[in-house]
Amino acid sequence: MGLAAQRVDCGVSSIRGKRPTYLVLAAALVIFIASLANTGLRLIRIDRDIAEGFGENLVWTVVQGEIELLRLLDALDRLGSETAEPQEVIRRYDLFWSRLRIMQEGEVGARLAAIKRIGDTVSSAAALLTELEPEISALVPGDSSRAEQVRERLRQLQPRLHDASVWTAQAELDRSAAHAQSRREVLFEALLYLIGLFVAALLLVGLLIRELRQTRQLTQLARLAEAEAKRSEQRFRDVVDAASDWIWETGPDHCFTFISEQLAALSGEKPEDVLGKARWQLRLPDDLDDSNWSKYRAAVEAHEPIRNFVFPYRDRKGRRHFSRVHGKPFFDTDGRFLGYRGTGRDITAELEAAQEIAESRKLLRAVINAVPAVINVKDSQLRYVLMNEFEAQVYGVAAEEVIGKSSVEIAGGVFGEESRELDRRVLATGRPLPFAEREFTDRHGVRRFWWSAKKPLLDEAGAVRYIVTAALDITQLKATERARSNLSRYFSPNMVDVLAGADEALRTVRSHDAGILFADIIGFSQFTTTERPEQAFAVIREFHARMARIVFRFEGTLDKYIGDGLMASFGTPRPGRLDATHTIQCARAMAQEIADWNAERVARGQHQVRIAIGAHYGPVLLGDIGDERRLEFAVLGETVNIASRLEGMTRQLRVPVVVSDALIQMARRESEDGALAIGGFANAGVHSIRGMATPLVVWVMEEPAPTEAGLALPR
Amino acid sequence: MRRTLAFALLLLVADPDLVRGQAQSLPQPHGEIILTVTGNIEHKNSEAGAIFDRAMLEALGTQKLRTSSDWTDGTVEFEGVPARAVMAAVGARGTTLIASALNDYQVEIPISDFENYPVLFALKMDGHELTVRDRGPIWIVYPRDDFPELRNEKVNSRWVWQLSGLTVE
Repeated sequence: MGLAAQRVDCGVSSIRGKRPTYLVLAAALVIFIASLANTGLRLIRIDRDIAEGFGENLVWTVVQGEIELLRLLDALDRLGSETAEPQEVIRRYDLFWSRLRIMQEGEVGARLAAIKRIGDTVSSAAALLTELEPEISALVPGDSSRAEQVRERLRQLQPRLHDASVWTAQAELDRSAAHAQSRREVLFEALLYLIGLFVAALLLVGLLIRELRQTRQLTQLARLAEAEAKRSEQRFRDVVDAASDWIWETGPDHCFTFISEQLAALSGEKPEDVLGKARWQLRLPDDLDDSNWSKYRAAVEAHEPIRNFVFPYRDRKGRRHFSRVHGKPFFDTDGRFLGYRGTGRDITAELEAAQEIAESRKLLRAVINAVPAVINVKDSQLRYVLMNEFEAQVYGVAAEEVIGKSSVEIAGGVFGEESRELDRRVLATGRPLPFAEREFTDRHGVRRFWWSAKKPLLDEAGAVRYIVTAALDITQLKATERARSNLSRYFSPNMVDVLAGADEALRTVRSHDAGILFADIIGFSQFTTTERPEQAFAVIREFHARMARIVFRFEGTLDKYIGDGLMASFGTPRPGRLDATHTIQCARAMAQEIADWNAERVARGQHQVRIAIGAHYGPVLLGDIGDERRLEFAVLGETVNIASRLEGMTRQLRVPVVVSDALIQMARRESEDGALAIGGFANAGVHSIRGMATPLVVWVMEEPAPTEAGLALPR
Repeated sequence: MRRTLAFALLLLVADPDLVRGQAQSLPQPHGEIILTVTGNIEHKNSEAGAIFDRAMLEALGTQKLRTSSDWTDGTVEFEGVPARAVMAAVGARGTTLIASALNDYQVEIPISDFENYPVLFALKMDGHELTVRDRGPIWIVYPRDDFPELRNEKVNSRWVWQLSGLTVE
């Protein structure tokens, strides 16, 4: 049947292929069953025929006829010899008649008639009986001749009846044999049908079992395939859902046929909003980049793959986004264009980030260029990768030109070699070089000083990748360095810059009015004997610090420390509008400061400090008395001497502050409220000054009480 | 045996004529004797047993029965004495009959057949008296058309024609 070779993986086709086989098998089964039924019917018919034959035994009937004839003959014989009754003969006659009748009538008659010659024999016998009937009736006992006549005639029947019984027996035997034969045949036939039926049924059952198994396997395969399909679909969905990109598909008319749900999260749009539209229908009215879109449209219409098509769009909230899409055309099996499938991504953040990076790079570049210092970066081959504008100007080159060149090529000669040596050191050690001073003569022969440092930039493996050099031009700074440090010791800090930037002015010697103030600790020698030297110096340091603060507060210049005292000037190096007022205010503040300081010291159980302050206002001589490297600024003149003498006068007047009338009068002039300006001072009359020809009117101030702030500091 | 007795008693109760008849002894035949009943019977009218001529049998009451048979063409009407009437007349005390025919045919018949079916000892067919020539004078006839279970070879063999003797056993 060729079915054994069917395989499971042939799937549906194998089942389809088997259909005719099933039909054939089913037909065979039907035919076999019908034949079997038919055979059964035939068998039943044969059996009935046989049974009928036995039930109504023809042979027996014919033999009985013959026997009946013999009995009749016997009765006739006995009648002749007078031993029998005529009635006996008549009864025998009737019985024989009856036998013949039976052989003629009904089923038996019909069947006997079918046997050759028997019908003739029976009918001729019946005819003879009818013919002899009167003779039989007339028979009397003892009439042997008459009986013999009848007997003789009847006797002729005997061989013929005998033959008939033989023939009948023969016929019945033939019939039985025929029955047996046909029965055998039918049985054999039935057996064949049964075998056929059995084989067909067996095949059918086998096929059904195979089919069932295949179906089960197929079902299982189908289930597996379905499960796999589900899994893969789920995987795809997961990937799609997890991706930040969205997935889209367009049809042959380039209109969207599918767009994944991410779109909603990205732009706030629902897929329905864009389905059925072409991408260029989503173009913003303010998107004027025609070439971008026409290029895109040309690619799409040519069914070419789309790569990196970026276009702006607006989300539901009106924010402008940038979208980047990739797509691939897809075709059916006949090569017909079906549309595009692809992905899309919101690259707004990326673009912004890129823009920001570009901006910040630009800014960084600008900052680097704007810095008034040398900044450069060299690679591990010690070739420039970056040089800022400042350095380029110093070397007289373009910043872009130096990339890839060495320091020797750019700076040349000794300095270039030296610089390379330092770079090598950084490269070898991987450690930065701290700021250090370096000397360099530029292309114009000008000597310059650089304050320079180097720092390595390491890669991930820890090796030096770049070397960053930063250098400040300190040529100018070097020139004023010492002077600056000197100045800063004497001038108030806000004056330093002015003075440092205008050193030319200081070099000019000139004269103008200024306030001069001397302050001194009274009886400091006492301190030096009673206190330990460290403590004595600590008192001096604190006194100087407190006094200097007050001088600077009133824009004074701390001219010099003189042992335990100091000299300050107001209106130097340039005169101001309130120089006398500042001098008085400074003197008063100093006295107050000492009073407060003493309050603290008393609270701590320390000695009090006594102060002597003298101040005067008048013309002074100003000038630089130092050399080029060291700026020494001097205030000279009579006014300075008088101020010093006034300071000394405090001891005999027993006040802490003594000032000249010239200072008081000047302060009165400077301020609108003169009384306020000289508050705390009293006229002490005319006093002669040592070393002076004319006496002077002096003003004094009594020792002030400590302020509450001073008292409140017990510490 | 017991069943037969019970049946006989039932008949006694049911039929006062039979009861009266039974009280009388069997009459003597006047014509040709056509049936001789021997064996285990109560009532006899000769040394051999109970002998009947046609008139005696007809005196037991006749019935008609229409049926087909294997030996006749189509349906015929038989008329004769019910077998159970003959059994009652002779006071049969047995379960089986051996029926003999003039042609020496013998067959056993269970008497229960007569109790269960109205079996007829036919004397006439289609109004003509049966003769020896046409299976007479007595033909045992079963109502095979009314009872399908009687249509088989076994019962066919009990259709004894030319009946001449019965032996009750």
